[in-house]
Amino acid sequence: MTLLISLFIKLSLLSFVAFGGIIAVLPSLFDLAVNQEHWIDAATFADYFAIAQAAPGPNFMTITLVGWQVYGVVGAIVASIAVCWPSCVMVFYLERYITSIKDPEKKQIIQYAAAALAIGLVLTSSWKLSVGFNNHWSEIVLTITVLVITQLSKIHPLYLIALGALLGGMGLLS
Amino acid sequence: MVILLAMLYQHFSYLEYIRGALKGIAAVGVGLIAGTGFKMLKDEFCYPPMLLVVGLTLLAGIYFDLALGWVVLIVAPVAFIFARRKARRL
Repeated sequence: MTLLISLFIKLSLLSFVAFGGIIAVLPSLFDLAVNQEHWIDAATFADYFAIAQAAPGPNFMTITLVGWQVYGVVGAIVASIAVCWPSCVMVFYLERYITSIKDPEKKQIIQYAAAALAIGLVLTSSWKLSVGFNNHWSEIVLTITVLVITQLSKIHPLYLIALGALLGGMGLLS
Repeated sequence: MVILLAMLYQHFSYLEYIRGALKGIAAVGVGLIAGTGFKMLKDEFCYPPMLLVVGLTLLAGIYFDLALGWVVLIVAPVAFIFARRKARRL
């Protein structure tokens, strides 16, 4: 029970600073779950990230799986709620605050500042995840290739995920 | 569904090709996240000084390896200063 409460509190606190979305939180979650709390090892975290990417649903599925690892189905539910409620409450009150602002310039300032911060956090997250997950040069090449493809085409991510699974399954990434 | 997949993973994770496939998906997943960041970054080129905010975030998060909360606390005031200039300029 203590573990469950700890899971709820720590993930809730993490969610309060989730500017840039859950993606931005993933390196902090990695640090919390792997290095600080030892809920999960680094390789399993990377695998859960992959499973969450492959499965349909919102981005926070990695957190659901970490919760599942810690305390089964109850842990998965608690982790999902813990990561959602702070953002929901904050967005609700922020939206009310922003709507109440009459000066359009002030609204734009908030929008511009939040966007730049979010971009920085998403890029930071992708760098940290790449360093954490990609252990072989071929995986780094695949990551960069996917990055380039996403910039140059509008190919559906599912095809790229399937390609990654295929290349990895054939043993070409190690 | 994701828990179902995780249960399957626990049963079959000893298989080399399953581990390989997950490695591949993780590498692609990271690329997709980076791709999202770069697509969002394109909008910032209309007012290049905002790129300094992005750069400062990267510096704080990657080079100094600060925790997410500290990065937000340090970069947010700078972001608001530049955002104010951007709103007046555009």
